[in-house]
Amino acid sequence: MAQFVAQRFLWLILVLFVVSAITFGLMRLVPGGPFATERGVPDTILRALEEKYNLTGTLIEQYAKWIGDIIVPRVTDDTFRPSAVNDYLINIRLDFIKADTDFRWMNFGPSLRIRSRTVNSIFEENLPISLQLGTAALMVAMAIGVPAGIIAALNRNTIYDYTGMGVAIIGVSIPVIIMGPLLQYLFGVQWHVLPVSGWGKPENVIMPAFALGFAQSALLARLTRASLLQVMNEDYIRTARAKGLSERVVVLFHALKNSLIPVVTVLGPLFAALLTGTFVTETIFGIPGMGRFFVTSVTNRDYPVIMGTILLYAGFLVLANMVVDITYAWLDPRIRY
Amino acid sequence: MAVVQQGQNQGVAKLDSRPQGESLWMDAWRRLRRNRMAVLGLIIIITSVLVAAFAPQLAPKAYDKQVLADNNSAPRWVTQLFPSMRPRDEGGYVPINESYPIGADGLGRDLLSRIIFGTRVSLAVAFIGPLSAMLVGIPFGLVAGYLGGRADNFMMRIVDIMYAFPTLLLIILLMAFFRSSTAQNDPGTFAYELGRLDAAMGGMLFIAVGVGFTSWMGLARLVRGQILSVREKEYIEAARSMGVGTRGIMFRHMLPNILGPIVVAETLTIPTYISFEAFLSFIGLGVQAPTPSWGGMIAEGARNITSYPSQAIFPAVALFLIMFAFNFLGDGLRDALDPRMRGVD
Amino acid sequence: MQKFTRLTALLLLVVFTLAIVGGVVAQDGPKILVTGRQMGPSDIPTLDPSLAEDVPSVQIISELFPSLLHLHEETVLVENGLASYSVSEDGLVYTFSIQPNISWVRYNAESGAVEQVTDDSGAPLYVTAQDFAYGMLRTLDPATAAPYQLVWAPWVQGGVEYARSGEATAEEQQALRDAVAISVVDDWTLEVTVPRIAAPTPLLYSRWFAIAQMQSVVEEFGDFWIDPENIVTYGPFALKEWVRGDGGSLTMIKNPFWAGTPEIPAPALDEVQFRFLDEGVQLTEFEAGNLQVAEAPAASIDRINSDATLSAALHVAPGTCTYYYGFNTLVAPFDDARARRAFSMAIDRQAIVDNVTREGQIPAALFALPSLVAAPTSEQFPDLGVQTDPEAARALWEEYLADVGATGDSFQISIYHNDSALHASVAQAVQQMWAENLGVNAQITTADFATYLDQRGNYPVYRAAWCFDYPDAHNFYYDVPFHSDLIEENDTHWVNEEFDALIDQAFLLTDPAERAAIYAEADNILVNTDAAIAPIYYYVTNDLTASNVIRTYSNITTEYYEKWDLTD
Repeated sequence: MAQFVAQRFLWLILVLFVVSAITFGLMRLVPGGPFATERGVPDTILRALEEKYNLTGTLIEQYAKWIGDIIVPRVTDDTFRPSAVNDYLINIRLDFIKADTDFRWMNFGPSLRIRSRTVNSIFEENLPISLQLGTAALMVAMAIGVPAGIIAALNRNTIYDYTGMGVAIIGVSIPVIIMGPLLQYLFGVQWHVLPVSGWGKPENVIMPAFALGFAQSALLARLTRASLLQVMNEDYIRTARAKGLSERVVVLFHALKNSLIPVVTVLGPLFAALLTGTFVTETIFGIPGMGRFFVTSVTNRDYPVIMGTILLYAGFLVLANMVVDITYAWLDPRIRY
Repeated sequence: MAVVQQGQNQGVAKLDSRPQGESLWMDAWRRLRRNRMAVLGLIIIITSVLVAAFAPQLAPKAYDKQVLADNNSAPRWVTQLFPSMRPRDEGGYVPINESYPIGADGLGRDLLSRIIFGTRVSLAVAFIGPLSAMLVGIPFGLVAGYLGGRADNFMMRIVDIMYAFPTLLLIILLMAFFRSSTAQNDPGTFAYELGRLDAAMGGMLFIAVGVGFTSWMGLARLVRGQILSVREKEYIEAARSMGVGTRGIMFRHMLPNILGPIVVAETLTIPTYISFEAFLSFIGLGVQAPTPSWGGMIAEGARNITSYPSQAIFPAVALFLIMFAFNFLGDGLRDALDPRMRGVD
Repeated sequence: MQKFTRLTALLLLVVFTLAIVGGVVAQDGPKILVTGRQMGPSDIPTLDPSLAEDVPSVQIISELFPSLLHLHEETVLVENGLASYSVSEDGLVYTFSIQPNISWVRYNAESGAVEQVTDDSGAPLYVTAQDFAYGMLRTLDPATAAPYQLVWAPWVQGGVEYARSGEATAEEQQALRDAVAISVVDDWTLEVTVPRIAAPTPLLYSRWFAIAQMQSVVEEFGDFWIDPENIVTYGPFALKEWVRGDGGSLTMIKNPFWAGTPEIPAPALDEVQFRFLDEGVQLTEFEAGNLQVAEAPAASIDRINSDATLSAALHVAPGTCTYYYGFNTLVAPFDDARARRAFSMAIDRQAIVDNVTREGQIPAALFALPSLVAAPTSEQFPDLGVQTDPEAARALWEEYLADVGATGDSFQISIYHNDSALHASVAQAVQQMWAENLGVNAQITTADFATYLDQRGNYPVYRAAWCFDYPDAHNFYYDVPFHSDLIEENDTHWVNEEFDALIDQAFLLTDPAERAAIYAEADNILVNTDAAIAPIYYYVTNDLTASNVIRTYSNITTEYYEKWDLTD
């Protein structure tokens, strides 16, 4: 098992490497650049900017420079001045070795569109907001999806089944662009119980987390339903029933626990989707999270931000899938690797 | 920006014990018919296919005919349905015009006709997406699962890479490349012809291709997971000992047994394809105007939602119906195709 | 269970009490105005005066760093009390006398107060001629890569040479920098020599790219000098907080060290918070009472007008931009002026502003914005410019078709625009007008902004807009690249020597009426006889203002919040 995990971790690094290389090439194929404006940019200025932001030389040189800035640590003395192109995520004071020395690692580069920002500052300031929102939305999705799935499974093809699944499907079918403004109008304007938009207070989380989580609850509801139905047919459940255990005990203590395994395995990818697929939610609810960067970095051709968001997303997904695979291997000894 | 998040493992098929004289599909169909919601879903889907096919006959007006002076007008019943839309003759702002069955949009186009024609885009996305995902995902997952070991490991890492593939970037690239080549009046080249085809499809081709190309991974993982769990089963051993070849085992013995989860999973991802189209419309990369799509109409209507809720909600209802239909049909299929359900009900 | 309920009740009680107390405190507390006006959902790109190029950045910068001369809300140039100026007899040397008492300030987050910036000995630092010279030179510096570098450079002797010296050696660059005719006479006196006498010159000193910056701060913090903890400013407001990211906000706080001048008084408001919100959300927040100033989305304009409260809150002010369609004059049929004129005349501008944009935009017959200095207007020159005339358009188009032996279907005509609901609506309306009036089936192609800018030169027709940089007609005829000096940037690829000559001629005159007459002739060539572009309408800005706000209304998009106030 340890060997398997170690092996998968190496694969993770390799996958991130390949994904970043593909994205790096692809984004430079897309026409248009980060500095273009309506007025047109004089060649001299364009050259100065390209020089400053590592956009000269061959693509391979640029990629090497970019990835080098991330993985190669630096040890600096006090003459080091942080700037948009020289901003490190990890800074450790090395006073115990040599005075006025710092260990610096992981420079994900500057934002080309907003020149006083860096990818690191986006990770530090905007990512935590997305994490909070994503966690809240995940809880909403589970709070709606799992019970709806259980009710549906236990009352298959009855009105309860249809209602439970129907509610979950309403969530996935009403786009946030409709749901958001409706919620804002009702709770913010008509009833004045929740803030319309913004971030920072606990009550700011409620509406966006609901809009986002409700949309994903159908997936969980369906998965719970399907998985519970399957488990209910397993031999050990029949055995439990045959032993004369009450139906409630059978469901709660035997079936449910096992049926939630596939549900748990989608939580990783689901969380990744809740983190990154929040462009619309953030726009409507005025949330300074990371979701908009996934789209605006592409439309702005903000190359380092594109790379940063893709790396983050890829890392998250691959890690989540890795956990799933390990869980599989652990759950089912017949699956060999 | 991966579109699809799929379940990993939904129901492991078991050795089928087929009752005599009834094929697997007949049996499934019999059980599907018992599920009222699934039947309703099927009816809705068939109806919308018909609506899409006969859109020109069904639509009361041309979908792109603007009467600018009639912008945002609505018949009286709509204003009664949405009380916030107060008609102009009652001191409000909505011009009443009974010649539009459910109202007109901001450019004075008939909403109903646009919804009817919009069925085409939504259904096309709903079918092209899963189809391309199946074309790539099923063989990929089958091979990975069957071969196992190093090959499997390697192929799954390709899947990991594809998961993180920047879909949006790809779509923008495709659009920018092919669309500009049509604008340059350069007929004859491949790019030009593709661009023409895209224009003929209302700018939907590259959306579908982009989405399809980047969303088969969930399916591949699912298929592979299924294969991993069935390949050690007794009936596969039996087939192998009887000398059935690799391809035969994969396609004749394994595939039918895992078809249920595949169909279910794909039916269930259809809503995500449809909502991805809506998302692209929201960020301005959707189908080309004036081609109507529900996603585009919802995105457009959502801007006016405080003033003209009907313009967003009617297409949203259409979207809801089709999502509802695919969801319940998917669940119904799952139940019907599960071999262990035979004989029950 | 019992316990839990009691605990909950207690908690609720505490929360309510706090809320009530908080409400009472808020009423007596600082006057804080919350606005979403002109911000949009995206983060403000920069607060660096040398790098700003967009409306939100310029709005904030104009409050933090007042310019030497002041552009009044009514698009007139006034002295603002910060500096006075005189022009030498030959008209080439501008001398500015700067008030010696303007403090550099910085907001201290720990003490919660705006503090003076001091030197090492603790003496407060004041804005000097050196600071202005540094700011002006920094915009020109090739290393800054300022977007307005080449807009500013031609107005200073030696400016263009220095701005273009990016590839020179360090010594050469230093020599060119020293040669720029911006000279510091003493701490409070600045002299700028201009290359030639030209009417718009003083207007440039009201612009954000030619203001004071503190060299030591810019050099110490580099790219990050505009962060709230680093930035030093001197205007009526100081920067208090900046929540970065789309959907964030920026808060300005009153600068107590700003003494106030007649044009830029000491602010009555204590704080102004700008929230970065989509216009639809702004309207909802306004209706919920959380924004005092919001934009009025076009989509909701009819509802706003029919609602007593909202319509009273609505104000429509002239904007600063012209919306137009450019024709690619290299591809058929637009390589012929007749075709371009026909397509332009076939656009019913009145119908577009009445039924599509609907915010009160003004149909444009001429390209230049009427509010600019020396701009020709349709009132003055009713016969010039492009007139909407479907019959004449049809006749002209058929004459062209007969001439080249083609039919309406012979050409693939594609309208290209960047993605936006507004552009899509206008394009579809135009598409139908061309279909009805000319029998041409045009296509519409959209792209994201970056692709659009890169590719629009390849499309037969593209949508564009121009907003003034400095409020003189010259900006609309020269800096928009229709003059052959800037042909590389010109996506219509149109060149006309007569047009060039007229622009060059008007530039050197001083009488606005005389200049306007010449510009009218030039504009008529641009939009009518040669019809390289089809102007469609002039922008407006739409504001909703809560009834407890006392405010001024600006015609230049930028507002001066120091003149605003809140009542209870």
